[in-house]
Amino acid sequence: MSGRLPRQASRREVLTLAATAAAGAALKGSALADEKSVALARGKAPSPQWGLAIDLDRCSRCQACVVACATENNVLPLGPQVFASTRPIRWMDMLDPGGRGDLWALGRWPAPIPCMQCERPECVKACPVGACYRSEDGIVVQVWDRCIGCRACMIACPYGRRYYNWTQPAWPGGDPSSANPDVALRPVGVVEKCTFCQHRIRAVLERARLDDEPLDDEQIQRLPACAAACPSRAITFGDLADPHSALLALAQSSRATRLLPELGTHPRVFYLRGKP
Amino acid sequence: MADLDRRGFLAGTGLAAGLLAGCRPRKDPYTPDKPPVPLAPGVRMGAQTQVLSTCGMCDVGCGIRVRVVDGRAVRVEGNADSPVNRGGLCARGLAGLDVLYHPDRVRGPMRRRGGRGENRWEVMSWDDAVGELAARLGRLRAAEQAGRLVLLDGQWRGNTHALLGRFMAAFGSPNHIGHGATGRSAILETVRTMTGRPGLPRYDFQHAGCVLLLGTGALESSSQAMPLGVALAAAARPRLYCASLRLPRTAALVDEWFRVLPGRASFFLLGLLHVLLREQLADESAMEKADGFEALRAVVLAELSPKQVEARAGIDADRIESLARELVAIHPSVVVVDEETKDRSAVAAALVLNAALASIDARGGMRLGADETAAWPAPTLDGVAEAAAKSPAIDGREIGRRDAGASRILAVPGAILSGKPYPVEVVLLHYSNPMFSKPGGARFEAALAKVPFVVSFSPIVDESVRFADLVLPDPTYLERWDVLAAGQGTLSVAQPVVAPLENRMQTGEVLLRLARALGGTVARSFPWKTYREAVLARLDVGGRGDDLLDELGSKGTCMAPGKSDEADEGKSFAGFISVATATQTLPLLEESREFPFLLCPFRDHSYAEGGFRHVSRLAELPNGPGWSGYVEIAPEDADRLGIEDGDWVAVTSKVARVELRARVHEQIRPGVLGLPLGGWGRVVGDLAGAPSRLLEARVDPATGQWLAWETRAKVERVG
Repeated sequence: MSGRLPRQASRREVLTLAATAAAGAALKGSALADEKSVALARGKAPSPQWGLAIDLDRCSRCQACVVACATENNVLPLGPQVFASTRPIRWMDMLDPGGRGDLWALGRWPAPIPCMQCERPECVKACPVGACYRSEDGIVVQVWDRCIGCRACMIACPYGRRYYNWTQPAWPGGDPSSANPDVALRPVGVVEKCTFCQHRIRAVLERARLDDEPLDDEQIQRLPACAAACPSRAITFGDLADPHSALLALAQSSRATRLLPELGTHPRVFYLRGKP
Repeated sequence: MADLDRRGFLAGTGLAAGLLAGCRPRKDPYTPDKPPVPLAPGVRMGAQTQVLSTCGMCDVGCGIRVRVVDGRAVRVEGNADSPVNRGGLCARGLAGLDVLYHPDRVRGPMRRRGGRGENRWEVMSWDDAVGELAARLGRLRAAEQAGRLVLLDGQWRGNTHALLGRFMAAFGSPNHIGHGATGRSAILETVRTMTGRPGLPRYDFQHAGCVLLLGTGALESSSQAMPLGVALAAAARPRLYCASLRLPRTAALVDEWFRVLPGRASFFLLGLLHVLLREQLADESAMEKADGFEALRAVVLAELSPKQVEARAGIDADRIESLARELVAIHPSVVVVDEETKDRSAVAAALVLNAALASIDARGGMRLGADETAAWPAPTLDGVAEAAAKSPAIDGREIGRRDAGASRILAVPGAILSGKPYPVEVVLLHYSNPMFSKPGGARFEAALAKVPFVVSFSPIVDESVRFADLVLPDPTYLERWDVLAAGQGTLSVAQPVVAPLENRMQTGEVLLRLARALGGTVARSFPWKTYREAVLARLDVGGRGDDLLDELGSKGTCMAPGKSDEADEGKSFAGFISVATATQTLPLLEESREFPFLLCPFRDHSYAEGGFRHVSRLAELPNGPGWSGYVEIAPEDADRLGIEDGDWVAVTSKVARVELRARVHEQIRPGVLGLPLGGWGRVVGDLAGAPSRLLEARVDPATGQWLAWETRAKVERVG
């Protein structure tokens, strides 16, 4: 229990609030339209504006996204000793409230949770050295080499989506053969987080540019590693600034909700559930 | 050197450096020789390819696409062309590289030095290793004691499994023993005796309107998990019901959970059948032809109404009534029995219910029939081999039967220890580590200690290797070539994504060499030069071999010769041979004051066959087993015993005491402890604390099937 207590408490809080948010969203209707400050709603954001939708009525909680994310982004397993003593690093994690009660009645089943890629990210405000910024395409970027490991961003993030490297990452058996060469290994002492698989996005954009062909929404719906792996296609990626994207339609549907909307962070990750 | 001043020294070194630099070949500055980002020392960029192959973490046969950079496999993803997984892949499949690059891989053939378990080895060549085994086996055969060779085989289908079966038949031993008695046999045997059809049923989830799962395998690690997951991607997903003792955290999409009493699922199903028969909702046209249908109908109508089964099954009678009507209304409906269903009466009841719902071999229903139909011409047998076909196997199965469903692995330790019906001289362990994975594992340890010669084919060091005299490591599925039946009439190719690391040889090749070394009729039964040749001969592709391989190479998957995309619809349900099985139930569970809990063993979503239990990424999954194992307990029970989530508890059964972490779990019946198997990654060889040690190896004497839900236990907080 010792290693899990603080995390459980904060997660429970997040989830209780999330349930409130869901109720609120259900009352108010569309998740995008009800927030006046969203730049997208005013049609001012330059394309692309990346976002993600997770359909909780399709997600079986199989956790394939978790492993896909870790193998794509060189998030290494910790081994028995470190695993028992720290909070394991998972850019894509399962938000599990723990505690008791009827899971169906309370909507308390675990849910996949990546970085929310907020439009107004608290972590960026908290970083004293500019290691964290929001790029033009809406991705909140962490520059590993600039991070001083102060962890102010971790305290600021209301979703607990940032992780600190307490130990030097080590490949099992010291064999780095399965390292994905596209993603840097973060050293000990820096904070890391989900990047929406920025390197995969860049590769597709570059190919489209070289071929001189417009990017097709079909091509990018399953672009991040988590979305590509999902057996039941519960995860949809896309451009919120593209009026024809599948993602925008999902984000504007009455099934969409976001975590902790009252904080004004404006997450770019949408959860879908309930009847349309 | 003495009168060289500082300036002269510097000038000299500068000149030397300049000369040296000039001598080096000029490097193209635009070709990166390092990854674009810092990784680990020694990791280079290089040529990149994508290799299509088939996942081997379980036997579903999902298509995979592996990215290879500079000869290293760096990423596994799903192959979108595969009809099985359609581009998705589960957590286990995605962690495949952790098996390929596992630090505990066996590096090459080796022979034991010193005592068993001392873990001292002598590396040898493949020629010596195969020669040593051939000499041993040759002596057995010469002494007309070929039956003293026993093969424990954890695989139950595929080319290597078939080749092993052929070898045992040609060599002259009836003892090709699978793991089915602790898993699939209940289904294989019930389906075979009731319908005369071989193979495991498959399910057309994508077209089903309503799915009733028996047990949680399809929500966790059984071979139905991926087909069900893919069906959930459809715009209109099937309604999902589950009848089980517990629900896992991966069961969020289950619409309703029926907390059926342990061992009583058949009452629940027959209660549903009662409503269908009484209301004349059942499809009786197919059933009327079945033997014994009238008798079954009479019993079900007279004795098994929802009111009558309510108390026995633990399900509300009104809900049984309404569910039966729902199953008919939301057509097609199907009752699913996956590998985790070890209760024969429930399997039989499910078959009858599916027949009544007209869901057998129908769209959105249950598909019967063999998974693979390919076969070689019969092997050449001599006198020794012919005698073996008529002699008893050590596990006490029906004489003459060699199929996977007939095996009774739990009888093996007793037979070896008693030396009856005959002593065992050589044991081969092929993807089999019974000391860890089987109930009563300690008895397997004792039995193997008595066997003079043990051979393991395991690719990773596990207990089967520690107990072996000779290790002939198989490469992992990512280093092998094979063609597999992947369901829905398709074939899927497994290609080596990297060359076999170090010195490993595919078990199929080893078998061919071994047969050649043995000579005589054994060698004549294996006329193929390579494993690839043997596989193509089995597929019986005729002149189409090259086309088939081209298609497999480019797409990773193709239709099997002689099969079409259409399902085998319209075939009649051959008829129940005996419906008596449908009304039998398990022996009544004893109540116990000393051991108040029932242990419910299960394979969680991270379970990837026993040998791979220490794959780190799976152990460390968010709802995974961790490194210490856990036991699920209902909140009511936890409160009564003062246990909180995360506490260390001691679980004690009649056979063992094991310390595990408690996981307080809402979705488990009070009085039941959920025990995940497989999730236990401690040091190889030290099994005293493994969760599977808690399980009693009690079997149904008639069938040899493990009585999986008959171990009782108590639990208390420690520390």
